[in-house]
Amino acid sequence: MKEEILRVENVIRKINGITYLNNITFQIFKGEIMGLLPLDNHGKSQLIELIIQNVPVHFGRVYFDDQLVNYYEHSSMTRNRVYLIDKETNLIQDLKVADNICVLNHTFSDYIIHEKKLQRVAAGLFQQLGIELDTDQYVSELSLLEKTIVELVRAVLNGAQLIILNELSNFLSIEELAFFQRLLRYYTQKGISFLYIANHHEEAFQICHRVMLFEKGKIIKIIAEKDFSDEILQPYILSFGRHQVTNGQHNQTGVLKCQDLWTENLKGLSFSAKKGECITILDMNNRGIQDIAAIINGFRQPESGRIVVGGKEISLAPGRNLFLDGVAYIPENPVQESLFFDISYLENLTFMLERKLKRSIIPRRVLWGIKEEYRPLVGDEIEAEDLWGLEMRSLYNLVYLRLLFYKPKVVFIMQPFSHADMYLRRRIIELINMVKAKGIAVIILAVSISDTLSITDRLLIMEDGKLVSSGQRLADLPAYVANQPQ
Amino acid sequence: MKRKSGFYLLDRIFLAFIVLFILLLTLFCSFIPFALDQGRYLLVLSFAFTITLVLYFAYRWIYIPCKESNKVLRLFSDGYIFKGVFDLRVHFNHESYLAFKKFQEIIDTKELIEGTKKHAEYLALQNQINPHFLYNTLEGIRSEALIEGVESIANMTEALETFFRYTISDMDKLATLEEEIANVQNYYKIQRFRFGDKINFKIEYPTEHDPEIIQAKIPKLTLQPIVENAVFHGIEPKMGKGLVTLKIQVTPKRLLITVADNGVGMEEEQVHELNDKLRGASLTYIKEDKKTGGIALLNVNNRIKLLFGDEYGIYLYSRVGAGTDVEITLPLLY
Repeated sequence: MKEEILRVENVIRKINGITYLNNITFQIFKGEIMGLLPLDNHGKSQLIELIIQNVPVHFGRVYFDDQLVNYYEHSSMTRNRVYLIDKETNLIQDLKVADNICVLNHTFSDYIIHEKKLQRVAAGLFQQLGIELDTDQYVSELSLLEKTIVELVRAVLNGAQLIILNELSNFLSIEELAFFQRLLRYYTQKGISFLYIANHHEEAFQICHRVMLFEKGKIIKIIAEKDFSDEILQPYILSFGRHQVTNGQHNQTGVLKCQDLWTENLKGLSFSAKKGECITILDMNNRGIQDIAAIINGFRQPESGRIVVGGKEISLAPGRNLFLDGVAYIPENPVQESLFFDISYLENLTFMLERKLKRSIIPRRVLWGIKEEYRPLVGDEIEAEDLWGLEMRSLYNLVYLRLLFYKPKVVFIMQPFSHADMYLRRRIIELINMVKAKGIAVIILAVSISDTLSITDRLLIMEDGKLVSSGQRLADLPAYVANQPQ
Repeated sequence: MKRKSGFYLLDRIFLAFIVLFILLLTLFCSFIPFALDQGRYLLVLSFAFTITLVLYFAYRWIYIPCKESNKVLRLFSDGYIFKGVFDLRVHFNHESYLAFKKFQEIIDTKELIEGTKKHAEYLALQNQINPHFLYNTLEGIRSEALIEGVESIANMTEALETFFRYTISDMDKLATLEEEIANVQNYYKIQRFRFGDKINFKIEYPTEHDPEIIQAKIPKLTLQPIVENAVFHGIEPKMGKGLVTLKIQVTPKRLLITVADNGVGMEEEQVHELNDKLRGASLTYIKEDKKTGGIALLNVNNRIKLLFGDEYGIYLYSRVGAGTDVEITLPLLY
């Protein structure tokens, strides 16, 4: 007989008059991995918050471990035994693994800390999982996978009965994810339940017992494991299609050449890109692409190697901004990291115009001209005095339109679809295609290739800092990598 | 005729409370300079502390419960809850508690079910089933008789007889899940005469199947109207074959039954509207035009909520082209 760990019943949650959760009903059983596929992001964070803490609801009831913990009349604000694992770690970076697991734990009640004892306990927990991890290490020294594993172990030791896993594929590579999923299966046998939030059904179908589709703050469908298929999802999801992969024989000359780049995590990386070409570098270990990003941003100098852009070798000295050499970079969270919310849309769009024009004052007629040029593309948003009221789609438009405006020769994009819902992902694909059409070479740095295949011309797979199959055709890829929504 | 006063009683109490508080605050403010002149800092501090304590106490002990109770009454009047209104955490006073108790007695589930309104509901349900059902079935018999004139007619008639015997018998009692499933299977048998292999029916029991599950008690005629809905609104308008699946799941406290069809599905707005209606118990649907659909669902949902409480009932998932899942939540009773 299945036991419910969480039951959310007819819950309506409104904040400042906006309905974030609209009459949602579902349950998660003990030892079950329930998938959550948000088709849009409306209400997702409010749902996570509701599960973790008994926050006020307009209507409905929440049962945790068969106890009514929250309902329309009274919300106690207490926390449920739920743990959230996200890219942003909850661990304390300056403490050791053993301290994070054993001391930062509400079950810990010793007055004297015996370091060796703690390490023994922590090591025992890893041993159960068949993992060798030095519990004497500081968390800051761990890789993202190791941090995620430590969080998982810590959550279980803390007595969490339900663990929410938020978009793991955004920060774990394919191999890391496969490994982590094995740990989840182990813990389900121990009666721990998981809410597995994923942006792609292929990922969720691999591991979940049931998957629920979430849109506009409503659960629109719950699919049982035996019904998992692409067909069942067709009425619900947008079809991105797969990009027609060319043979990579562009007539144009190579606009970017990376030659023999060596860093701690890059072992002689060499590749070239042509005008308007989109290359995805899929990093199986999630280390090499971080080094590429660091080089582009001037945070790190490679030990050796060179980058040639438009036939001219560019300096890779630390602190140098490669933007002036025609190399742009879009970070993983471009809206938070590259836009300025307090200044106007136009000022954001023309942020580095004075450097491009090499003038300290931009004449008004130039700005007026830019405004009128972009008005057909963005509409009246071009007049926005700040970015606070704009929707995510408009903000992403701004990020990519800036590229069209400055026309760099090449752009590196870190995980372009990270945190984007289905509708936004489709818009990002359109925007990247616009960038490609302008003749800008696009280099996507990714740990998972979901959706990138819709725009990629060539896929390069990187393993341990080396390209293992440079220029490999998509058809030759292993099924688990090439599995892509149609 | 009584003259209604503009201010409600609780509003008056709050108003009086605010006036008193302002007076107290004014007194306190005028007292501070005097006390400070006298060097009585401790007195000022203790006075301030007492006021804070009283305010906090009033907030937690009076304001919050009052707000919560008001919210419950508002949800009741908006149709969100029905029986939940009798479970107020804090009643306004002893008399209101007694009055609510009396109301509960008056609209007690049993009485309500036996009352005229409930009979009207049952009649509505039966009226809904009978004409379509009877005519279509008789048409089936007639066609069969014309073509074959043999055994199948006897089978069909037997199925029909069994079905009516179950449907029109004592409605007040709870039936076992086994009886309900048998009735649905009988209904399916009859519909097969009409639709042939266009409709298919499947039952999925839990993986760890406990044989006792089928002895669980549920309100009579809970499943058949929903299966009928799936057949007529989901499968019949669909091109090609359709499947209705009855999925059964059990937890220590609940029985979860899902009637899923792979039919034409429903528009998003319609699903949302129906789920809103299914959230609470209401009799207004009886007055509505039958063509609007979903009446059988509302009827079954109302019976479940009236019998077992607001936390049980029906929830719907549907989308055009994707079929419909009707999830029924019931208490696990043996």
